[in-house]
Amino acid sequence: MNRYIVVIDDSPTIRVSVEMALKQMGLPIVQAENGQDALDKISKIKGDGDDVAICISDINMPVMNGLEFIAEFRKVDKFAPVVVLTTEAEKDMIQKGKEAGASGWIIKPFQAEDLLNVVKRFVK
Amino acid sequence: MSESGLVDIFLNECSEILTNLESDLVTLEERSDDEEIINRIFRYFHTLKGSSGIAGYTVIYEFTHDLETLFDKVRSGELEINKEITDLLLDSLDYIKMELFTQSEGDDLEGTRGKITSKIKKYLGSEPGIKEAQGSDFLNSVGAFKSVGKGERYYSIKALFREDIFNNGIDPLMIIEDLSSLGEIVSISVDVTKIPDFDRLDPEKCFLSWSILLRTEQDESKIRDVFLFVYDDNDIDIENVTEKYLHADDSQYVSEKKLGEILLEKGILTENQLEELVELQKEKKFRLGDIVVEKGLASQKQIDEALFEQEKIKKKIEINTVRVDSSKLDNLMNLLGEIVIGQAALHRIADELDEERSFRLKNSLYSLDRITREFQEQIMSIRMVPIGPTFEQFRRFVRDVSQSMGKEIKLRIEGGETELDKTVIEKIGDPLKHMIRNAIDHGIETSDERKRRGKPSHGIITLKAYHQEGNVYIDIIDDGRGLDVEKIKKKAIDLGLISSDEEVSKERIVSFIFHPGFSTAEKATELSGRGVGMDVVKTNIEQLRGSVDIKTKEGEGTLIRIKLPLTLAIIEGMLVRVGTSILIIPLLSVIETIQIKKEDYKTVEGKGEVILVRGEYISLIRLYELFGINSNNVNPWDGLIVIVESDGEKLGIMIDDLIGQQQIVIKSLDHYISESRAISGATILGDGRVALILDIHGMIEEIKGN
Repeated sequence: MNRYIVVIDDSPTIRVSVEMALKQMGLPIVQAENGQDALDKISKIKGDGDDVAICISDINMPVMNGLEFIAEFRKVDKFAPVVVLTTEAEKDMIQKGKEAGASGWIIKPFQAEDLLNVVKRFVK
Repeated sequence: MSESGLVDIFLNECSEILTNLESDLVTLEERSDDEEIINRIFRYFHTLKGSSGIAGYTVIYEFTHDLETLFDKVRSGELEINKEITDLLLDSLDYIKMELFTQSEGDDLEGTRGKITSKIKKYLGSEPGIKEAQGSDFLNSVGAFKSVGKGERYYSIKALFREDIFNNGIDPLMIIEDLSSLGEIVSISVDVTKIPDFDRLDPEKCFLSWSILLRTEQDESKIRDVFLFVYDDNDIDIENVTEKYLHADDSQYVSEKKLGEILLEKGILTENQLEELVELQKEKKFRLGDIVVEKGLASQKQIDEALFEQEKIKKKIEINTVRVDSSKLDNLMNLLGEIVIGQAALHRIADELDEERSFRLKNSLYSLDRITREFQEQIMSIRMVPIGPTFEQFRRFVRDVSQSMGKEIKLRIEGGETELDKTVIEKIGDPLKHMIRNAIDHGIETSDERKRRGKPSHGIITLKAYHQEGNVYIDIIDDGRGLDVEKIKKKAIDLGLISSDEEVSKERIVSFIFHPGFSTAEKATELSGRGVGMDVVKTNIEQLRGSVDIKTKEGEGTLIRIKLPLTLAIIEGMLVRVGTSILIIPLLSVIETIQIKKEDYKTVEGKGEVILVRGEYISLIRLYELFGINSNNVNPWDGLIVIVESDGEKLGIMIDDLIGQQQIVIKSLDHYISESRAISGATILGDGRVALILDIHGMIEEIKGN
């Protein structure tokens, strides 16, 4: 069974840099452009009998934003960690994220090493 | 993917966004109340900012942050979009294009940016700058951290998590693991009283809370960082209790723990409640636990838990304070040895019974065996003490001795926590001291000489202890000049140990320093004397059933490795028969037992009898010849051969039969018998017979000697 890292951001620059930062985790990485795209890809992953190790999600995205995504994701996966990677640093927004079911919050711009360390905490 | 690859992706993304932004900004001028367009534009700025930050375009990052803030005001209705703002935004896009794509000499990038930024700032007023959004300041804003300076600190951390914590993909254990990476978790207790009965237990919920005492050099902010995301909506309490601990040792503190303190620590009572209760208790003379339950502040179950914990702490302290004369332990060990012998006798009787009774007796015996074994381990563990203090006492010694010789030497200690039998520790001190003295005197060079050789001016002697394969190893390593192999060889020739034309391996030459009366120091110094030491060192260690090994490299240093058995009193032995005699081979030395073919047996000039085992020639020894006893077989291919190994050298021992394997209690032999190096001791078997225990190491040495 494969465990996937799902990277959700509308910016390809961010997606690619996250993928580069997390390459050494040795897990397969799936990129998604927005929440809906991620849900579709996750449903395919789970359909193949594989699993989600962790999601790294932006908040501000077209079609389906990060908060909506987390809430929807929690309906199909109660326990997998979702780390938010965003420029949003407002307490209110972080609180909304927690309520939706987020597991961690990283503020952009991020250092590759910091991101890797956070992900390592969640994914053993 | 390389860095430049990321930049390409970023530039592509930017050019796409800039194009879209341009057209959207222009459209917005006509349809200024189109929310969809407004949101889209905002997101474009937002994305530009995020991507430029990550791709390393700091200037663009800061610039787009201002643009984002400006447009946020438009989005929220604070600013109305007009031509002036649209022009400003379009100018901004032009500037970004110039910065990223069309840059050419003579462009005044900074000037252009400055003009635009100051125009933007006019709209922003006293809006907070970009710093607000950056990670480290964000962390700081979460809790009012105060730095307390370096040094060791103690924190009491209480963590009661929300029941639905798992639904955020957070595992409390992960947080506790993070804590342990900050320092040492001195104590940790889990409050399980909130766990509901099994039939109502929801496995997807968290009912546990933790009390942790953490010793760390980190300050409080680092600990808060661990809880960062869960701090606000879970019940997390971090308290600096350094004062309480730094001057008292841990066990003292727990010994004073009262029920009230335990309840307080578990978060069942608050400090105010406890104070009130204690007052009440003084008045009414009730037990505290009863009052707490009566007042409904805690359930009886919680009180019982706390009392149980109190009891545990008490017990721990009692164990800590028991002191026993070590001779009592020795007596216990001896008695245990007798029990093992008695059991062996019972096993023998079981063999003689009819099948059913034999089976029943043996079953009981097996469980008895298990208990004896555990019993032995327990006694052993009492006898085991860490070697640390023995090592530590050499610090002063090394300092004094090196100073008196005008050398700079540091002592490094590793594995001080390694445990050894108390008897071994007592007897290993002198040999160690001798070898360290040798290292200081002969091994490590003077500072001047070291500098000439390009080494650091101070020498290092390392003492290192570790467990490996049922043995304890102690290494004495110096980074000095190493042994002078040529000089030792010359001396060995002078002493007649080898002939001058003999081909001798380096290992063998080096081992000559253990020979009695061997010293290569041209001038005997006050300290090392004339080499009366190393042979004594070796004898001492062999008396502990250990061995010594030397590795040396000229100019780089010397390693002396002492190998010691974990226990002195009991070994696992393999019982073998030769004629009517029973002998015991220590199981640790046994590799395998084989039967050989006639053609695998050879006699080699200078080496004596050998057998060929999987392409390797192994010396053969006939026990009946060595001990002058009778044997059933005289041909190696008729009997069995036990292949044994000691210090990398193999030996084939010819026997008649294998009897079995059992725990052997070693009884030492008087000196007139133990002169034979092939025997290390004796034991009494179950039927009362005496069996000799073979000393494989000694046997190999003896064969080499002949």
